[in-house]
Amino acid sequence: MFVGRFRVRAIRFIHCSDLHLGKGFGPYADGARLTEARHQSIARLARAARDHDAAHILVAGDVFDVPTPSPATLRQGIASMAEARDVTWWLLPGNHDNLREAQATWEEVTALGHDSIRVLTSPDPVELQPGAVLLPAPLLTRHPSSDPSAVIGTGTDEAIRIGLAHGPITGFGEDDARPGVIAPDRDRLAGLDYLGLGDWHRQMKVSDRVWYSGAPEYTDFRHAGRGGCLVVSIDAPGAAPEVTPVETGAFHWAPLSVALLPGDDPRAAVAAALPQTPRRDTLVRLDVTGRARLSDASGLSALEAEIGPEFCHFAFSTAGLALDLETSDLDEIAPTGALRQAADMLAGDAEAAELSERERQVAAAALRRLHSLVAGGGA
Amino acid sequence: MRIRSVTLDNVRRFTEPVTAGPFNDGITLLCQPNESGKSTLFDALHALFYVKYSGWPAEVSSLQPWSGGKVAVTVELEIDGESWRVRKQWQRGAGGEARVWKDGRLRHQGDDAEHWLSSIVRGDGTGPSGLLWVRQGRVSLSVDGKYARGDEKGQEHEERRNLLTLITGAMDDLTGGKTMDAARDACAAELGQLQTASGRPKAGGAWAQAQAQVEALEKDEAHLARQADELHEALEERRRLRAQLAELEDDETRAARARDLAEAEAAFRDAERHASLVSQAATEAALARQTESAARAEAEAARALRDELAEAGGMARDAAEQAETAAKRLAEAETAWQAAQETLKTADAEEARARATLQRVTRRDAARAAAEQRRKMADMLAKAEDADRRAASALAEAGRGPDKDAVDGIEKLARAVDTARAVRDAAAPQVAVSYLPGAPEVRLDGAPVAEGAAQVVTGRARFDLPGIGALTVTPGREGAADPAPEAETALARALEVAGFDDLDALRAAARARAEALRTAHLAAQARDTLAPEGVQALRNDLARLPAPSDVEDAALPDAVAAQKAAQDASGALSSARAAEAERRTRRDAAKDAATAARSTATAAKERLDRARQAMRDLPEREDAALAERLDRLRAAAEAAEALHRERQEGAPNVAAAEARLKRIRSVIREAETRAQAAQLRLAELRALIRARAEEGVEEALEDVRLRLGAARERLERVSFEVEVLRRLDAALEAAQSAARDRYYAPIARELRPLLEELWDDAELVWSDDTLLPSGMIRKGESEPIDTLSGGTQEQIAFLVRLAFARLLAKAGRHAPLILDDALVYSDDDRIERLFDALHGAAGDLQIIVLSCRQRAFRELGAPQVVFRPADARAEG
Repeated sequence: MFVGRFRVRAIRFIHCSDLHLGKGFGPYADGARLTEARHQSIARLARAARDHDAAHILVAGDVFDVPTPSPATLRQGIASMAEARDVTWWLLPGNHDNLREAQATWEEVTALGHDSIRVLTSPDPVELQPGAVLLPAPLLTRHPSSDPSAVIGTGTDEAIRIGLAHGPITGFGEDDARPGVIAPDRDRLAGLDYLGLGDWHRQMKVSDRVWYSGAPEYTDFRHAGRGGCLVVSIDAPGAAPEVTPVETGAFHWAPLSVALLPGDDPRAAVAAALPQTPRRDTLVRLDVTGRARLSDASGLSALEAEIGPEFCHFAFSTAGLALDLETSDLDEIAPTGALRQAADMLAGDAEAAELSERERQVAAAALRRLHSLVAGGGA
Repeated sequence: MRIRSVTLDNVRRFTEPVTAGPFNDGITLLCQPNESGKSTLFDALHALFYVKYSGWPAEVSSLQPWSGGKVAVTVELEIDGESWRVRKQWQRGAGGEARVWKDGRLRHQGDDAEHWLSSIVRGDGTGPSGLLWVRQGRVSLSVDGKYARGDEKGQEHEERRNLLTLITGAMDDLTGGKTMDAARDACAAELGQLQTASGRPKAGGAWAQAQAQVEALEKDEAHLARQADELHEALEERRRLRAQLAELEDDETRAARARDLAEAEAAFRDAERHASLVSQAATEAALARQTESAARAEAEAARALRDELAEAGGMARDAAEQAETAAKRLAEAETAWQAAQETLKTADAEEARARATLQRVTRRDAARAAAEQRRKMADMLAKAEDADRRAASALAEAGRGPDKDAVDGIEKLARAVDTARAVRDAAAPQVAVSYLPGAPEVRLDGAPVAEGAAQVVTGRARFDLPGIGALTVTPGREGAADPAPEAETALARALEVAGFDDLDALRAAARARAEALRTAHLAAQARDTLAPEGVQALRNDLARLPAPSDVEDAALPDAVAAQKAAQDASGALSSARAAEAERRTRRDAAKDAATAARSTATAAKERLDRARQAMRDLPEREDAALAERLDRLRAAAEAAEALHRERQEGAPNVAAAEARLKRIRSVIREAETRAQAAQLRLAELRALIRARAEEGVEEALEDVRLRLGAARERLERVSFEVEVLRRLDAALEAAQSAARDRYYAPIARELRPLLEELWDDAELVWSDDTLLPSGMIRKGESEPIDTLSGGTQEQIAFLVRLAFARLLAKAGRHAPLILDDALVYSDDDRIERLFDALHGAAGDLQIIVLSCRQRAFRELGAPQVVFRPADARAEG
């Protein structure tokens, strides 16, 4: 295809971001596996590129989790990228590895001298292939004071223009007026065929030409499911990009919330909410809320110990679960006498509006414990 | 609450509905043989009140007959005067139901009915159940130690409970019993794993570990954060230094600095050269002006010399005249001074003569005064020596007389004689004679006796009476002791010793002695007046007086005249001295003036000579030539100054050029220094950054922060757990304590009169720990509870139940008391007493007695009920 004087070839590339190489997961029992998964995502991205016949992998920021990663993180990550000789990696500094703080890191990456790894430390356009230019917007600081994508200049329609930037855009429900926010219509302002964004770990389509690729491997429970990347095909300048999500995450993150109603079978409700994914590679954060009978609430306490070990991570909380007390529940502790009086006292405190939330929660937990101890509701 | 009737439908042996009742207030007896359904009735009632309709627990399944089907129990109740009917039906799977009617109208069903039922059984929840069961062999400790409620078969021990289990059951209802203890123990054990007795995190416990982990991670985080900050600062500094270095080593900048340096150096050189020309012009101008000034000064000097010559000539003449005048004055002053000196010598000699005369007059008068004093002192010495001799003589004479003590002693003896005689004479007869005219004199011891005078007759006395004869008078006490003679003898002996013949002689001698002493005293006074220091001292003074001298006094004036002459001479001498001093001063002044005048004249002459010599040394110039020379020199000086000003006005600023040059050189040096320092520092920073990067500080910091967050969450969970356990423990303790306070003492109080009905003077001993009876005191003797007979224990248990019921009734909660075979060990005599107690305690209580002991309970005296086929209404 010719556009003006140029012969333009269609281009296909992988758009990804937020690898966060070297990120630690100290508190997780399987933290080492999670860290390793970040590194393994390099190979999965390379495989995705091969699978989709893409010659370029555009990383829209946050290759590294910290500005100055350890030598092992840096060298092994770069080495893994270099091993995928059939693709070219275009690395954009993000807020975690911004140019100001990570200058030494990027210098070292550049100094390693891999032809297939290109560090985008300046906003100068670079040619991906004849008729296709990449317009990067590297982050100079961790917290830029203005739209970092503003450095992407306007251009002609003689080449496919691909922008690459890192940061939030308006429309996330956050403070739109805060500095450093990327204009969501930067593609239109700069005449881009596609604007690849990073920073938001979940894939998100901002517009037909503007996408967040999401992280290839999620890092916490803010995003459910698995990480991934995007395969982007652009036939010609001005043509609508074809964007295909590809799942690359090894771990499934499941932030679950189960709201119980009185009479619900809590165990069944929890079982129904759990994802049907390999449990060893699944991380679960389960918040049980709503209301439950005392005996049911007491019985839930054992759930974490029963099924938690099957998962890569299993965090369980009933702090938001209110007790739906019935007389028969308290009768199970004792129909009369001092035990009953203690139970009534705790039940009253658990519902007492004049007490603090903390005091109510303590009283409710104490009541559940009493039920467990006396009525055998499980420890 | 009162139970009026119970209907069982398809309950165990009652496959057809049967009703037991009516149950009135007070005691009602259901007395039937074994296997007739009493326990079924008991169990069915228990299930109705305590087992939910929706379940199918063992307690209910045990009620189902072999033929199966729904199990239903209906009870008619009276609560606060209102009639209620409760029907509960159980069925395996679904199909159970619970319904409550009031006055024939359905009021509650399902869970609502269960709530209602629970509320009437529980009351306020703090006390024992609203239904009080006494059933032996139905509740006991299960195998695992937990308190088993209900009568689930297979878990209970079918043994007759003894007193302890019965009482324990009752008290357990109140205090929670073993369940409470187990719960508190478990709570305390869990808490003990976490905290110490004082509530602090226990070493090795989860709480302490969580805290320690947080603290350790906080420490790690702080350490890593410092390292990360150090790294960031190093990175930032490196960035700054690189930018700085790039700026310093920028080629254009360096070239510009080199250009600036070359320009500044050239400018400085030009400025220095021009400054040299300016300096040269200034020197030439100064020289010209100096030459002109010298010429002008020369002309001025010549004029001044002429003036000086004239003045010096005048002054020399004046000075010579003044020197001559001064010489004359000096000669006059010299003559006057010499005259004054002569006068002074004369006055001095006169004064010496007058003073010598005065001395001689003085010596003469002193000799005269000394002779007079010697004469007076010799006279005084003679008088004093005379007085001294007289005093010694008088003292010697006084020494010869009686001393005062001897005189006083003798005078005392004389007064004793007079006293003795007066005593004697007072007792002696007195004879007085009165003569007739012409009568002859009477004579006593030859001496005539005067008329009228009384004659004391102290001894035999013989009066010669002329013409008559003799009259002998003999005192009456003649021969008695007369003190007078002894006193007289003593007096005579004293006088003899003293050397005196009689008393008068003594007294005369005494007076002579006194006179001699006075004379000696007066003489001594006279002597002491004349010679206060003693006679010898006076002699010595006299001896020390100078010997009389011979002083010539012929032609000497008297002392006054000599004194006046001396004073006059002295005054003349002083005047002469003053005059001489004045003349000398004048002569000295004249001498000085003459010397000064001579010096002035000499100096004037010298000045004149010098002026004359200077005049001779002056070059000879004409005034016109001199003026022309001066004009020429002035013009040359003005031309040189004009040239200097001209060069000065166009001169560049050397200091500014030099300062600029210095500044540019400094900038270049500073840039080089800074570049070198930056290179050096960059090398250091590279090493530091590399070191920190190799340590993976930022990754480690992020990891520690994640761990710290998790550790804090963990600490929060453990802290929450501690709070929960503390809260639970506090609630259990408070409830248990409240229950004990509320029921222990009242029950003991209720029990006391019931005990007295069975045993005289009986009292239970309660354990503070278990709240159970630990013994019984009967007639002062204490018996441990476990040594009491089974019957006694059973009866005590029975009474405790009654006490509970009474306590509840007093609290306004009427609870039916259901006794199922409660008295099996009691003998007939004791059981009747129990019946009495039962009747006594019943009052408005409802007591339902189930028993198979028909004979024994015949004496209960209560209305009996039996099972009868139920009517249709009872089936609901």
